[in-house]
Amino acid sequence: MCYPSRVRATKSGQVLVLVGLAGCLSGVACKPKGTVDPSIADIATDGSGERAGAWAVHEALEQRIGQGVDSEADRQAALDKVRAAPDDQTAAYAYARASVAGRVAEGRGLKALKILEEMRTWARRSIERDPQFQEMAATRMLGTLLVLAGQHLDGGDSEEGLELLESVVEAHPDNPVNHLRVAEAYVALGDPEPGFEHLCVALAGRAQLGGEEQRLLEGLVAEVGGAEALACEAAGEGP
Amino acid sequence: MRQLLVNAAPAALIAALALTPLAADAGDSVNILILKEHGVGSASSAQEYVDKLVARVAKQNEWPAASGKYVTTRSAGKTYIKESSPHFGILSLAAFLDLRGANKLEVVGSAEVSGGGGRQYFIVSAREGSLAGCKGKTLGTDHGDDVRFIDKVVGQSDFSLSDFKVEDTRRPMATVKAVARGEVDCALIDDAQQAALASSRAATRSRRSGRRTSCRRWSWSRSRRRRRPSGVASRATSAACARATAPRSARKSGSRRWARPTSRSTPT
Repeated sequence: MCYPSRVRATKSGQVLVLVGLAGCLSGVACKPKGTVDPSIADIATDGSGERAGAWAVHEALEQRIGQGVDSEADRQAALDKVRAAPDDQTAAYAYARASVAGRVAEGRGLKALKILEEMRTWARRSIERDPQFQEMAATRMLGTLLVLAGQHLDGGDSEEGLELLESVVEAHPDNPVNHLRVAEAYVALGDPEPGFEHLCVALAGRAQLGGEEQRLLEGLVAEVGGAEALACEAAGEGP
Repeated sequence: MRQLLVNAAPAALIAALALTPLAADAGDSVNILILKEHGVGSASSAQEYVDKLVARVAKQNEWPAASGKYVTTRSAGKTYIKESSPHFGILSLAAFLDLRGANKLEVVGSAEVSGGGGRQYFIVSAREGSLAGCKGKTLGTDHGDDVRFIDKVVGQSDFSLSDFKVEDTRRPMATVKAVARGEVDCALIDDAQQAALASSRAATRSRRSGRRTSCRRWSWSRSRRRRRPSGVASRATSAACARATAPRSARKSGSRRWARPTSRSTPT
């Protein structure tokens, strides 16, 4: 295909703009957009008041994200608050720190490597404090982190992440979220077939998934070629 | 782990294609395809970032409308090209080479991707000392789905996949672990996997350095206590320490060659 040189130059410029913008979109230097919602801003970090501490911040942020109304400023403010909250040495505190750090990293991409390390550190601490906390939620989080971002973490190992996720499914097979995360891992690692049975289980338990998880499930099913490609057995007959 | 061959691809993640005339001129939507093969990440998780990126690019370029699609397989890329006639694309090199003829692709730029892989390829082994030693033996790789690309672009005159008993190791780190554990004789990996291998080896060395130190201390006090010539005790303990710190595959085979960083580099 041949274009006049003027058109080629324009397109080249557009592509360079496209690549260059990626840095700002995921960049730590970009100021968080939006305003901080009072449901997060008003939480005390010193333990006073009805809603206080890192866990309250985590729950407030998750609620906003679940409703699809969160802002970058919400996430950053939540991270600042959980960092400021005193560590009560519980698995819940450590999990809240890891979870909120992960939410901030989501919006920053590869510019958030330090925050990803922070997330890994606190997920590990939560596991150390209580591995069974919330049906191994911290193990599930750490597994997903190692799979999706392991290559960018020091000594990160996606296969270790996969093993962690498989261990969560083995311990809690009735939770469709666990199957969804294993399936996501296999798809992300370019080896989707072993994840098919897990996608079938997640589809069967779709009603138990949150809005964000349902969107992820839809995306994964589409990515592997649609529900027909999965050839799921009838509902309730999953593995 | 020995690095037996290094072949560089002419470019890593390349492209930017012109599949159809610039539709923005006619007031239509500008579509952009991003096809990243053999990376870690799903289209589901990446699409949201692509949407943000394309929205910014459209605004910057004053396009009336734009949409982007992130896919990880060539078949999904072909489907998108057929259905949406994208104007631009960012493609992995192998995909670009495969699609360029049929779609008359034209390179207008290159993309730098941190940790994206596909820039350089290596054959590594814990057992074999040369590329020739790997031929006829098992080669683990998750890059074997595009035989033509591996033979023509990566292997060139040095090797083709038919020289080996290829084992599909399916996932990036599964390949690295298979060769480190000696489950396959050799492995074909890319620069992202090589970096992961180096990172895991550094982490292992770091974890083991403490053990080595305590090993030396034990040897010193033991030799003094028993009034042995220190050289004798030190040599014995050094051997024990070397065994403790060697990779499992090297310990099994009794080989200590793994420690020598010899490699043959063949840039293309």
